[in-house]
Formats: sequence, C-alpha cells, structure tokens
Amino acid sequence: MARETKDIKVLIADDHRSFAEALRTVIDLERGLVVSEVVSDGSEAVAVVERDHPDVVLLDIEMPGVDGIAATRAIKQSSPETHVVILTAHEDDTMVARAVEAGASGFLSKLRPVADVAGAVRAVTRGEALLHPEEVARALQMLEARRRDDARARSRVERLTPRQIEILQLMADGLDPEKIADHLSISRHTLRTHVQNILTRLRVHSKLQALAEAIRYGKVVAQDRGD
Amino acid sequence: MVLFANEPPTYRDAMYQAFRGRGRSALLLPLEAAVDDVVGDGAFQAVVLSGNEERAERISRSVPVVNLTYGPGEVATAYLAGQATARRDLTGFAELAELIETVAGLASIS
Repeated sequence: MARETKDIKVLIADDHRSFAEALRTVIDLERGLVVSEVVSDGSEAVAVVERDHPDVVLLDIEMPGVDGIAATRAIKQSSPETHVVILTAHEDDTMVARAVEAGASGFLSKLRPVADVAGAVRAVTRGEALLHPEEVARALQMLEARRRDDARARSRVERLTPRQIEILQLMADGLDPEKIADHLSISRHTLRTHVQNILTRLRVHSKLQALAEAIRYGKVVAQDRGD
Repeated sequence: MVLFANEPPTYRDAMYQAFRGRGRSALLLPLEAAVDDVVGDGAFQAVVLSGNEERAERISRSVPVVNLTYGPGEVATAYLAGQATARRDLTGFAELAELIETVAGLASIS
C-alpha cells in the first residue's frame, strides 16, 4: 500500500516581488512542494505564519519594516515547528550567527542555482542542517566576541566623568578648542589634558573616534545643524 | 527567444523558468559579462540584464533589453536602440513578463 505523504507547505517572503512570484512558479512545479503564499515584508510573513503554520518559510534577510532576522525570531516564537531558510545575496558570518540565534534552520545564497531552493526546503523538513556545524560555531564565536568588545566599549564610555562628557558635547556642537576652553573657564592646557584623559579612558587615538564612541552609546548628542 | 542573463543566479533561474511557464522560448546565460559575445547573431528577440545602464544601452543597439535594478523594490527599464524607453516599478512577475514580451515583440503594447 502506498504511503500517503503530505505536501510541504512553503511561504515565500521577499520584497523583490517579481523574483518571489517567479520562485513560486518554480517551487509549485516540484513534486511534494506547494507555495501557500507570497508576501513582501517581514511583518506580513509573521502574520501569515501565525495563521497558516507553513512547514518552511523562505525569507529574504533585507526587507522593509521587519527584517529577516526579527521576522525569524517572531516566526519561531509563534510557530516553533516552522523551519526558516534565509535567502540572501550578502552572506557573512555575523549575519549567519544572528540568523542562527534567531532560530533559522539555514541559509541559501541568491548566488546559487534556483534548483538548490527545493533541495534546501526538503532538507530542512527532514531535519538536516543546511549549515556545517563548524561554520555555525565559528559564526557564533565571532558574534560573541563582537558583543564582548561592544560591552567593553560601552563600559569605558560609562566611566567618563561629567566634565569629560561636557567637553565631548561641546566638540560635537562644533566649538573649537579656544571656545570650549572659554566656555568652561579653563586654560587651553587644561583642556588638552582633559582630552588626553578622554582618549586614554576610551582607548581611542583621535578626538573623532572619541566623539563617535560617545555618540554611539548615547552620552553625546550629535546636533542637526541644518546645513 | 528571450535570453536571461541577469544576476543574481537564483533570480535569473527562477525568472527564466517562470517565463517558460508562460509558453515562451527562453535561454539562460550564466555569465552576464559574456552577453556581448552572444547577442550579435540575431538569435534573440530580447535580453534581460541587471544593473549596468551602460551595458544595457550598448546591448540594446543590437537587441531590445529589459534591465532590472534592485534596491528596496525592483525597477525594470526597457532599452531600445541605445535608449531607455520605458520604466516600471515592478509589483509582480506578470508585469515583468509582459514588459519583456512587449519589447521582444511577442505582445502588443497595452
């Protein structure tokens, strides 16, 4: 007696609509695969998954509104059994790590032949990994290292004194050293000492780098000068 | 016969197959940079390219071109005789296929 097998239900989410619809045609021609819907942004994908619980979502990583990473996280929360395969033209280790952390089952480069898409859909539904475990481990380690560096930089910025933050803010406002010294009623020499201490504390080599760090972590506001 | 030479490959393959699914003849060229070498013999009614305007203009002196550009969204620009003649913000594959059919002389201009 022949065993009855259920079609694998696929959702395609890609803001390049002509590609997504062409891909639908290709997948629908594959035996055992059926495209349930094609959507153009991440929030639509999340809503359709909540409603339909497809077996696989082919998800573009760069979409307007909710991007592929955020959509993956939301999809896995609402439908843990749904497999997410990220489609991307720009694969890098950080992106791989973020997607894996979010719950993606795999990556598929848009540089691959379209025939690989059906193979990937079938592989993830069989529970096979599309990514080599070493590749995943390397990507996660890199992401972890990047986060550690980020936490250290944030901690250094948090240790700036109110006076140092004030000086950085005046620099961000576009004041030259003479005006900053006047504004703070200190000598140019004292200002230089403050700036040197800022660079040492932030472990950077220029005032521009110091400003960038202070702005990045919200200690200094970059003014829109409207010019 | 329409030649699909556009990038990236997943797009090219999918569009080629979907276009053939409309009952049209088409061929794939896996290397867009090689398009100059194959369009001169009059075998194609249109060529689908991606991105490079200068190349699209040049190729369109030999054969009508539909040039695809991607950013947020997709734009298809038709080139005839070295000039851009129509531009479409694509909202689906049917719209692209119709533009290709039109420049290839396979469908009347609507």
